[in-house]
Amino acid sequence: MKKVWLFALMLGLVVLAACGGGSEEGSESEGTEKQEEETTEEETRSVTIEDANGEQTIEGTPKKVVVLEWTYAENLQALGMEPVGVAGLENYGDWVNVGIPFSEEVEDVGTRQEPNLEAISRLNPDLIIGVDFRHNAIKEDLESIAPTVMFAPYSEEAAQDQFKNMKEEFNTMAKIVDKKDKAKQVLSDMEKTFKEQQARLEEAGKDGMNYVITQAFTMQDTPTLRLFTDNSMVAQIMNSMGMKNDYESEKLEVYGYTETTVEALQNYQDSNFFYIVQEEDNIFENQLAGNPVWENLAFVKEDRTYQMPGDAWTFGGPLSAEVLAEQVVNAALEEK
Amino acid sequence: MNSTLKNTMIAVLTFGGGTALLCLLTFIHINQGNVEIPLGVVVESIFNPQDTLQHHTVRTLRMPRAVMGIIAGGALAVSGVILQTVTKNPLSSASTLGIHSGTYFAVVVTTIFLPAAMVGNGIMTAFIGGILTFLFVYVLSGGSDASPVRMVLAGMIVTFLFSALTSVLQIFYENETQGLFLWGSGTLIQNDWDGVTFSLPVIIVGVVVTMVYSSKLDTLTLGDDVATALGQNVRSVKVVTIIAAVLLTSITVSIVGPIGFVGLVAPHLIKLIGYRAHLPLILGSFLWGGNVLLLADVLARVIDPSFNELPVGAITALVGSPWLIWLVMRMKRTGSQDSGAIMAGKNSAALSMKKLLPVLLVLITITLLVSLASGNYGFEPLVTYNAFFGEANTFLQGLIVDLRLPRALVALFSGAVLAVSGLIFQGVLRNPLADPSVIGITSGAGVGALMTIYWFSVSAVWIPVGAMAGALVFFIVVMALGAKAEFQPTVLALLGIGMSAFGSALIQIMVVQADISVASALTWLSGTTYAKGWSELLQYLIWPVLLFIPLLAFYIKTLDVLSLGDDTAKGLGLRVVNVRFQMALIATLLAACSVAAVGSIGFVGLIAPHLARLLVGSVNQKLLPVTMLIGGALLVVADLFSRTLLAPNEIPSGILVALIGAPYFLWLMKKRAT
Repeated sequence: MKKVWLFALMLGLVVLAACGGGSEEGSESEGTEKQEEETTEEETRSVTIEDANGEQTIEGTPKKVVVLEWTYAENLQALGMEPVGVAGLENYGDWVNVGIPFSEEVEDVGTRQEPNLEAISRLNPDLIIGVDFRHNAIKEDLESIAPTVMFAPYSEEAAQDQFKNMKEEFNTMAKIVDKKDKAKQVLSDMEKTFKEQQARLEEAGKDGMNYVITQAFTMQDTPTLRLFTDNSMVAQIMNSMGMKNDYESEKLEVYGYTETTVEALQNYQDSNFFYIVQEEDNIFENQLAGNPVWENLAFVKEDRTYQMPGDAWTFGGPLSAEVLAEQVVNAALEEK
Repeated sequence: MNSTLKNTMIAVLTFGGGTALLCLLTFIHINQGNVEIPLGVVVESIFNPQDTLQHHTVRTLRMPRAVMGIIAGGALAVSGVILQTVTKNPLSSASTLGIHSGTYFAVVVTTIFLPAAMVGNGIMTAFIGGILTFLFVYVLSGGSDASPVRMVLAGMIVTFLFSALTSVLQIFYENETQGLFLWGSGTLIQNDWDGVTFSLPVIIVGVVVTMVYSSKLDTLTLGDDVATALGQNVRSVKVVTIIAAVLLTSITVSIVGPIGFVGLVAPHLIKLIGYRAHLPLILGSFLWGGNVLLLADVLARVIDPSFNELPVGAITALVGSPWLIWLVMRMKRTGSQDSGAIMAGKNSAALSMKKLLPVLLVLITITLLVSLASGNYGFEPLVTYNAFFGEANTFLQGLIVDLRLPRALVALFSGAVLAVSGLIFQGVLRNPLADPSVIGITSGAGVGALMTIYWFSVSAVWIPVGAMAGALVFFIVVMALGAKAEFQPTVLALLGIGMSAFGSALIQIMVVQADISVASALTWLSGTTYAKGWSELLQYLIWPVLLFIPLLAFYIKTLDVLSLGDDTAKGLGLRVVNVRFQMALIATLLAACSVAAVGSIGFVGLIAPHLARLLVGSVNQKLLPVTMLIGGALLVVADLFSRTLLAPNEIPSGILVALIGAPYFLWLMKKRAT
């Protein structure tokens, strides 16, 4: 009998949620800042934010947050908090390095693609942060555990300018956990870092470099290159330091890059070639060394290639952005 | 005179025309790439090479790829010729006999546990894996007496088994196998000439050996006895040529990955032209095998010119599977009356239902309770008991009622539904191998589901509708083709294999073409009970059970009548065609419901009815409840392990079912073979 009641209850909730979502759709365009309803008393604080599924109101100030995608774990760290659970915790450090290691208390909650609902539920979180393209299918399950915020970083709209989208998502998170001042500071620190790094470039007389930047790895036994387009975070960061991207794609790349082979590089031989590779999968040393198609590229012959380390998370938050900016300039100045 | 002229013409067309086509395809092939290179420059780079980038691009990136395509296609085709002759089986090839999956599995195992043994692209490992798989399939299907169909079925089950094992390894050892993952579907991409220089000598040796043995292979086609009488050492011929065939297969797998269907299509092209003697057969197959693979690669890059290229294996499967179907339809006309049946449970224990049903119900209840009590922290019966009857631990209670219980129930119901679907198919088609996944319907459901997302770009809510539509379309195609063959068990099973291959090729193409919106569909396709809950249960599983099972309870007796054979059934006043269609339709709907809920989980529909027959004999009315219960229990157990074995990470339950199911099925086959 209990099942039936539970189901009826859940069905009711789903219907309510659906109705609620529908009626608010019209006001979406007004932006995130205006609908804020903050009362003075801390206990009854509630914020209204906008995520992939429209507007929602979150009661209280979340303290125990479970994060199902790395970017948002990093954002939380930047805000001076630590998530209670992170999906894909084991491999996080291989790809994301912002210099703040997690403590022992942080729990692994399964893979990012199939996070373990029981593990999340056991942590008894008061907020879950997921990402639309992975977790849409389990949205209702997550919501039954805790209020869930779902970002959509690769929607048509967000993809136009991933750097801007990153900042918006960061601010939204700050608003939810009530750390707006901290967020302001983090973002201004980030801008400051960009300025400092740009100054380093200017000092070395390397300002205004034109570039092509790629993240390269082996796939199907083949050296594969992701050439970043201007809407990507990486390119935006480099552009804001006064550099100029030579790579342009014909269509909008929602992830901010085009995947291609070494063959395509011959179109950009006048550029400065920046590349991000993992140490054990350096395709330029392992597979392409001695290959005439690589060796004969003008920027290889004239030594205009710049290697960056592999732990720069090109899809991260403000801290990753700072790390990236530094790594770009380190590479450009060929300093370690 | 006239006939010699005709023969000469055919020879000129086969070899001359084949060579001309090969040149043409090669030329088109090397003009494809990420960078536009003018035709003149391409030609110049071949005949008058200079030290320029464009010339190097053609000479070190594009040409090796073309050459690799030719020699890999040729090698696969020659190995197909040998396998077909030695196993006296027109359907043999490295992929249909499971050799591809075996070699691939061997490569994955070695990469993880013995990376030192991967010298030379793991050719030795691949070779050993290939030989062992061939022996395995050969023995399981009954050795030299095996019928073509048995052998291919054994090959298919072995493929299922090895793919499941490979997937498990890839889940456990994600980092070690990352680079291998996509190579698993076969691609011709080359960085330089290394792949060609490495494989060419081996391929030449393999092909030359087969050519030396070609006259002996000719005598082998006359039958082992005749060959022995003619003074030939049949065994040594077989051993040598099979080693050559597996060597040719493993060298291609180690360089370009498993590429199916070339080994099946190319030899038959040459046989169709009329060549029977092995020397021209081998040469012709090599030439046309190269053509087939090169053409597939050209097509792959026409369909998707970006770098996210289609694995060429998907194209060969897309082109090759209709061939398999055509070949199967043709076999029927030659009057192959081989049943290939492995009807298990003839010597069943025939337990009485009164005793069996309570036992099964108790067993299922226990399994469910164990499942409810097990989670990320192992088996905790006391905690669970307390959650319900002890102090009010609302949190744990919520966990069990909201997460574990609905998921276990989804597993129970979809297992039951799948099992019944299998039972009906087996009865209707009088085919012990029928199962929604074996006859290709689940693959159709997958295609339908992906198409709804990819073409109509609608929300995930519509996936199940697409799945049902896809299942129905595939069902109609299989039935229409099967009707021509009077629903012969063997023909149907092979049609199903063909349709499945076709379906998965389509799926692969759509996945590569579409972007991330498909990601959620992909996890769903792999067959998983992950995050399934009340909504799946109520939307897709409850109503078919309420609707169809009572109906079946009354109706299923007709299956007994059908099993007596069409003529007898007609004599008893049964409208055979009607009944068959209605029953099969119900089975398809049941299967589609289950696919909509949990994705394509194989083997349940195959195994549960067989196990049930072992227990209660072959009366369908008894079989129905027993099959349901067994199928349900099977998936509940698989779900339990998928949640707990690797917690907090998941193992798709479909893989676990295959790991339990495939060995059982092979054992069944072996038992019937002796």
